[in-house]
Amino acid sequence: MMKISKKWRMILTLTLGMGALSTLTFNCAPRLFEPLHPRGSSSLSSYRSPCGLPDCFAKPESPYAMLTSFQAFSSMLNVTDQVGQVSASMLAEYDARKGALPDSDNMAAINAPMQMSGTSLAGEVCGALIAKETTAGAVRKFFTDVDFTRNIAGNPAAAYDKTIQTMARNFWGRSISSEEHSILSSYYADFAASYGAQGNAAEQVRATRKLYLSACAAMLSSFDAMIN
Amino acid sequence: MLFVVRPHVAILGLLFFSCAVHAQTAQVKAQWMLERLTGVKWPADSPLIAEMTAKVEAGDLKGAAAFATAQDQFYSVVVKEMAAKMSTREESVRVELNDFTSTVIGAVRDEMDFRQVLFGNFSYAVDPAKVAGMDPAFPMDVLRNNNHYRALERSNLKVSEVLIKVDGQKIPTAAAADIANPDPAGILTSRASRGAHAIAGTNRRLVEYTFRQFMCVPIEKWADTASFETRIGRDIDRAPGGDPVRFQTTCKGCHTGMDGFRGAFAKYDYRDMGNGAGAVLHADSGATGNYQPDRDGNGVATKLNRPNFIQYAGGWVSTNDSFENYTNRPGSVNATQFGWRAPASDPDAGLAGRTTGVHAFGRLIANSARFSGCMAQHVWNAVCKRSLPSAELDMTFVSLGLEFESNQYNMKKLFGIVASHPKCKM
Repeated sequence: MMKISKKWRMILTLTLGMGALSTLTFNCAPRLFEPLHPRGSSSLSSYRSPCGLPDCFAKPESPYAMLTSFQAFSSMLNVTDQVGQVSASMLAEYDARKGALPDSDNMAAINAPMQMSGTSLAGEVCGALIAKETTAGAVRKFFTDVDFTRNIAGNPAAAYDKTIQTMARNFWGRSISSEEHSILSSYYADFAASYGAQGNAAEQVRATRKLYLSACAAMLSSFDAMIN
Repeated sequence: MLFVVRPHVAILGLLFFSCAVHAQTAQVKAQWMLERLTGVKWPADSPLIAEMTAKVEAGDLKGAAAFATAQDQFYSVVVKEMAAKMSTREESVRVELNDFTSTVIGAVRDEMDFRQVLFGNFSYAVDPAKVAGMDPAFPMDVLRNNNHYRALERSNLKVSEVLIKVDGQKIPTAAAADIANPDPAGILTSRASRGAHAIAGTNRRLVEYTFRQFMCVPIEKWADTASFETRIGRDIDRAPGGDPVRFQTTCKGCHTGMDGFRGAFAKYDYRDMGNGAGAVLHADSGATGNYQPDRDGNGVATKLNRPNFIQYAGGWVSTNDSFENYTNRPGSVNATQFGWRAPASDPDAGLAGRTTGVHAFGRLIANSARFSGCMAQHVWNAVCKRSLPSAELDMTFVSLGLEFESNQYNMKKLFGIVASHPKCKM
């Protein structure tokens, strides 16, 4: 039987979680995440959605349309501030995945290979984003308070919180909802517990990058990042 | 209770709430417009959205759209994909940037009279000055393969900044110097268009797809069995399966219009040279060897008259690149739906007055009323991404087409007009 590595298990779990959440918010319960009204905090998190307050960015209204493969790639570059900085490895990943990404705006084009390809491409873009922001002297936008030279426990949880809120505003074009926040917070807790203290010190430091890479890839390839 | 005790507080509260909701609605509208006009997502706190929101709040939707159409992604993503669908047989967006799509992008950016893309003697390519000294050297040959445009798309150059109008279309030759195209017609004579529709076949597909893409009408919707069969070629059986009625009631309907116009393409061919290489050929170009089409004594591409496949000896034999418009039969559905008009004056003095060839054919199409409505339809599909109820469909596109014409066929403005249309976003 084919063995799935831990890394892929982690990415798959997060992708499926985000996919389920996206499906739930879009298809089944749009009012559950109605952005124009303030909501109470969920039982899983103390985060309070800013919607209803001046700094809220509401979820765009339907009808939505899927981004085509080229639009999705261009979009990923745009929201991560990497327009004009496409690397050979990004292009190679795009070439390998574009066949499975949509060729039209039809929502019926959504399928499992499309979601996997989107995650894979987003991983490449996010990898480049982390590399860019950890370059000496670089101005950080997404990982402002993250110290990638320390392990997960050595970084404040607030740094993660700030990062996912920034990514939501940039990738999804709106504020993160309480429910989404709680899912991503659970992911943080699970990841920290599973991988944060695993291996030697160097491996534990590398886990910090993996945490942010996986969270970034999942958010950048989730439903709200692939529609307009 | 609040109204009874403190009405002024309640009114102020309502006003505040109303303003907050209005501001948020304007922000959502601006964001939607930006995303649809650029084809990509934008950060919610982008300064661009804030500027557009202010315009939306002021009721200036077209002004808001202008911010979006100033972005490179408007050209490199939205206009490119709209043109990509028009450039291929599959009507797919999965096509590399090419001379067809680049010319459309350039014409939109330069706010050119968009009719010219169907008959102008120009194309768009990368400005050599913008890529001078690149390592490796930027491929500059645009006539024999697509490397030039592929390199542009895969580079980090901004498409909207590096494309430049190149006057004078060329035909490749085996010799060092390429030859001026004797019958240029904008994107209709582009390498991408020829490669999609002139490869093999009988050049009928060129007519069919010109109508499909620039009149937005599939062949079955302009078939007319009551029209003339004079120009229907020898390769069309007049009694398929031994049944002449079948020809009269079905085959003739499509072939009358298609074969009538086909003569315009009589001198053109496209040769696939393998590994992505291939070239547009013209019988009168003077090119030799592999760059000369198979042709007869009249200089007409052999595939037009198909001497080895004669099904009806009395059929039309093309001897030049003249054509006939059989879709303007007085009182016919086609005459109404196409809205043929006398072509406006030709901006290219050297080509003015032509009544034969693709240049003349392109002018005829571009000056029809249907062309304007069709361009509105393409823009609508690219931006609104939703269909309209059939009752509203024609009227909306006719009305947008008229607005397009009143703006001197400015496609960039048309994008803004469509994005601001009340029915574009539900």
